[in-house]
Amino acid sequence: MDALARAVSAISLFVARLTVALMVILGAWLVPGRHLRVGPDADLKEFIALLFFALVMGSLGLGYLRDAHVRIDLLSKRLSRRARAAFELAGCVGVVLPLCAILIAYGGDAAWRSFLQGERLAFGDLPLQWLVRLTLPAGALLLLGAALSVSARCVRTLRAPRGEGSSA
Amino acid sequence: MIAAGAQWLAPAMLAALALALFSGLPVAVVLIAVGFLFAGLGMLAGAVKSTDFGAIYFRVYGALTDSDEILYATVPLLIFMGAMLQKSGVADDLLLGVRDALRRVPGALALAVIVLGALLAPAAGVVAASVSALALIAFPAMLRHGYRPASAAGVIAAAGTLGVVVPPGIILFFVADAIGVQVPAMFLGMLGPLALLLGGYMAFAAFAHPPVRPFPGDASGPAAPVAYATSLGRLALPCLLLGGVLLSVALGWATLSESAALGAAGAVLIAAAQRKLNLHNLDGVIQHTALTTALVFFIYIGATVFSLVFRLLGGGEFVLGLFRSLQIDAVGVLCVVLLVVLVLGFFFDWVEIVLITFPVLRPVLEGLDFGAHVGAPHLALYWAAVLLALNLQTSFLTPPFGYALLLARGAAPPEVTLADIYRGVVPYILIQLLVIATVMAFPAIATWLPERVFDLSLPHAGKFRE
Repeated sequence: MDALARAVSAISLFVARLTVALMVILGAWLVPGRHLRVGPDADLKEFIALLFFALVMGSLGLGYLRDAHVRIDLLSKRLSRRARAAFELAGCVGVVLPLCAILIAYGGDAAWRSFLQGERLAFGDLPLQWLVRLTLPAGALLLLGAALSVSARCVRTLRAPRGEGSSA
Repeated sequence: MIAAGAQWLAPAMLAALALALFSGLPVAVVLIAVGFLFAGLGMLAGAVKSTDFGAIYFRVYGALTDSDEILYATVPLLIFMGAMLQKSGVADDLLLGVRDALRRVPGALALAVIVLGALLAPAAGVVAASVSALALIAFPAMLRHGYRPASAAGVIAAAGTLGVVVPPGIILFFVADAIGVQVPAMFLGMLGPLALLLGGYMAFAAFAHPPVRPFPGDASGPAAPVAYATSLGRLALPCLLLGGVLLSVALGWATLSESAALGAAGAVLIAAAQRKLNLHNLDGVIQHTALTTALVFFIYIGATVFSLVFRLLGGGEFVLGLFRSLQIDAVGVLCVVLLVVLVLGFFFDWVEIVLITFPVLRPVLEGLDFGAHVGAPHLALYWAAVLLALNLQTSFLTPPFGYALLLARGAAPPEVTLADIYRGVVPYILIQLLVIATVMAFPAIATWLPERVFDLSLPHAGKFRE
């Protein structure tokens, strides 16, 4: 499962570096580009919107792996490490995995239909809208990988003899 | 129409959420869990169909890829700009720059902390980060220069929460989006109340200053003109950058996302010009941007699931009915809404309050008739949004739970007690309350400027179309 966590991290960081850099550069170019009348402004905006979508979907798994999500731990921090691991495992298996399943099932189906229909992008007139639609289930897949990795960490904590084990 | 027997589900859903949030699980996971649980119960009661689950996908995909606008793309760009200013060390230089520029002004360090808190607004996506950063930078220097622990703690905690109300912060962005007002107009609407707030903060900080002690290397007399020039130079670029972001939108030169991108690129150039830019910093800023974006939008997805099920179970009607049953006038309802937000701010960060609570309260605010008081019906929501933002900031400062205070304690030297912090923050809370009361009494403070610049009567559904 550590290999899975590493893979999720590597993919997410690659997506983040690429999308953030392009969003800053292309977004900053929009105003001077409009005044210089270089290229279609609307197409670039569409592309930046897609970069943003990829950044969000690509980062969800990384955030889950690195525990970067907001928690209200006023009460839970008083619980034992094993109890917290049990809660975390229940959250992963009972909530995150079903959410990913819904997003992958519906998103994958929408991407497949888009591919079959040759749906065109809103810019450039290329039949590649299925790639945009695929971003959501792909992001959900990364989140699924992160959730599985966190679940394995929790199981290790629960299986460890009392007083030992890695943190959840 | 909600199926008979399912009417109790909406209030039970709110109660379950309130309890489950304290489980320690990520807030987004809790929102989704409660949504799934009550969707299941709703199916048993006949209020929800299994096909409604598909709406989760369509809502998430539709909101994040709406081809008519790129509103949310602004968020990571603003986060990037703030993080670049902070992580590259420009923020530390800013504190020194403001302090040096104001070296002969009473309470220079306190004023420097207030200005820094305001300038770092775009970085204040997480109030915890800005309070902690300010406390770490400013506490030792203030205590060394003779500030009482309570004075230092008060100004640091108050300045750390300024990010909630200073445009172009992302918190205001989401407040505007959740209440359904134009984001750039919300930014401009904050300027009047902000001037009052900063004026009050600064007047008090100057009034409550300790005996002026010379700064190191300053004992021999007035500072050299070169030192002043250096201090002003440190300040000028970040001030120009943040002012430029705001002005470019207000003057119609750029859309919100364009100005945010220009701000992000400008922050990189400032860091480079001050020789603070390297690959390590840049990668750190990108990772911070990605993680903060994930944090915000995972809760957004959770809130989408929760609000979908809540609405299917008749939650909107339930909340409206609850406020109607109070049988109080519009001012009373507004005060209750502000009180609810104040109390929520004791326990939760802005992201939970704004993304979960504000959409629930929005129909209540939309139903209030303040047209005569604010001048026109379409201005009422702008006024209410500004009041909510000010109120949210106040809640983070209010003892005993205001969590900016607890964070300030966490980052303070050992000699500063929580009691010092509580005492120190009282004057700033009074200033907050005075400003809120003034804006309530004189709505034009919040509505005059945006009304002059934008057409606020245009209908929109929480989206700023570009």
